[in-house]
Amino acid sequence: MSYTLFAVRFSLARIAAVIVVVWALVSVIAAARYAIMRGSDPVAALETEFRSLSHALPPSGPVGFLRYDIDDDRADRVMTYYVAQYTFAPRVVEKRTDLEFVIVVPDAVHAGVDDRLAGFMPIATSKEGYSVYQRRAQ
Amino acid sequence: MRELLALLIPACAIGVFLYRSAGLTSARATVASLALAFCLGIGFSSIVSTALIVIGVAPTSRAFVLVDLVLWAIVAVLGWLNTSSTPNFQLPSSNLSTPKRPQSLDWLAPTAFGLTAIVALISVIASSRAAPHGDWDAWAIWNQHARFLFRGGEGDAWRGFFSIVWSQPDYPLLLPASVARVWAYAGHESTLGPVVIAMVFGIACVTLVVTTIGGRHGWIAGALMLGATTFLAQVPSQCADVPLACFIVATLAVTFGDALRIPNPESRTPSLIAGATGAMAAWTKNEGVVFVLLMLLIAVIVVVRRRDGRQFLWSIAGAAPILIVVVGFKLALAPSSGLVEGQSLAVILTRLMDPARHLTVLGLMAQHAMRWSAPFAFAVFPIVSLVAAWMGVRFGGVVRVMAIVLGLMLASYYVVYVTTPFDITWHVTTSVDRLLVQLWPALVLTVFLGLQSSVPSPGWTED
Repeated sequence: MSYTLFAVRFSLARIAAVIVVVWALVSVIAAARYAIMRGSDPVAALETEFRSLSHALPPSGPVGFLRYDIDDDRADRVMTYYVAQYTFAPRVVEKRTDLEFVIVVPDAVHAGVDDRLAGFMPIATSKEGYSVYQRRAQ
Repeated sequence: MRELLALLIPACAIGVFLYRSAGLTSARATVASLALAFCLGIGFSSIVSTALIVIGVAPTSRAFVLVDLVLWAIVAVLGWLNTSSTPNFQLPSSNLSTPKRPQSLDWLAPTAFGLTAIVALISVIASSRAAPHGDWDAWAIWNQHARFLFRGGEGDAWRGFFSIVWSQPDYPLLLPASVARVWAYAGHESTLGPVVIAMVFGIACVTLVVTTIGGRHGWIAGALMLGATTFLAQVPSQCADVPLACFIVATLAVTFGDALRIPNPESRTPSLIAGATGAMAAWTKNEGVVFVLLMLLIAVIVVVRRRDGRQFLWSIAGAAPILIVVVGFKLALAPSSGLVEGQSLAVILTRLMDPARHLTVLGLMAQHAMRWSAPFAFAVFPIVSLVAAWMGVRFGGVVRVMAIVLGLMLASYYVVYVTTPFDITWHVTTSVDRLLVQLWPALVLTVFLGLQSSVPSPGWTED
């Protein structure tokens, strides 16, 4: 099927092609604009924090992670735990405190004395207050 | 730049093999084979890397890079010595392409595609700069596994990720091992490594569709692919969905689209390549296993109907070494998938019989499919799917087969959602957009191959 307008012949296929191409161009421009305006990545910042603690941990094996008492499965808290694992690989970061080393996120610690960290002492702390605790020698 | 070199070496070796065995006849076929060489290069080198790590050669050691280099040099030499089965085969003169009279608007489609591709590339680079570690699944799964392989390769520490249940430890190692290999060449961990791999797969995906279709149709198909912003956003995500999409579309392009344009219909090369790319899909992500099984089923049907199993055997020859690695990984190394862990047939059947689960999955899948690539597209995936289905019914042939494969892939995703042991809403909403990304290039290829079979001339006018 084709139509003629102002001496230019249009076919439905040609019109469809033009629509697809214009739509594609508008879409990728919008995508590029979004990508350029995108804010900084929280993962990179968290990774830098955790990376500064790596030296305090053994090169492999399991490492503890102090869980949040409340809302431990909240997205941002899950992300913090996952980024810790991503950063400290090939160590395996586990949400438990019965290990030699425990990674402690600032807002996971109870105000005052946290019984879960009894017998531990901090051995390294990052700029934002993320810490590695080590069990005190008996 | 060493990251790029790491990808170039296997690509060149496989490129030599393709050049010598396929007898490439056109620029289009050469570009398509380059895209295939990069994808297969990444795939095969990931198998070599995995083997080296398993036998104790650490990616941080010099021996790792040295062994890898020697192996690829051997492949290149063997590829050079390999000659086409019928090197002097010529097409009948009537089949040779005749020079096409240039039309005044011939430049429009490639220019529009070129502009779209340049802006898309800017978008991918900007996204990679903003999120150098990739999307959530990239750093929680793929790049994390890569770090285990790279950092823990000296001893057994790399196996640590098999015990991290939430990081999908059963996922195959094509992507993590490739990233670890690129880091080995770079001499350190860099965010550039996974970014370059992601971009290669994204570019290869588009290249395969554009070159397989060819002409103005090809340029428009490429623009349509890139215009889907959900697909475009997945390219720099560093997840395995675009690589899987690439292997799926490569298999279909070589099998049904004559991507390499080998003049000899008896050539074994397309079947070998299709077998290898299909199996690489299974080595990329679990969904790829479904794809391989479907392709195998179709190949068996073709063999029975044609009563000729030669090409099928070449496909098996291309796929077998990779599938052996996949099966070995699944049986000997990886824990069982979270989707099947603790599942019994009775439980699965009960879930399949539950109409509420079907309604939930259907509703969520439809909702996501309609909004896929929003806000600049509405229902683009369903519309293109419907067109593909209509073309499959209307034109039959390879278009019908491709539409059936993609339909069955979609159906398999649906069944997995209905029987999932996880919360359905969470499972569907966090993954269905990416699953559609896996099928998008193949869907576009199907529609445009259908369009070509409906139009006698290479153009798209209906004059």
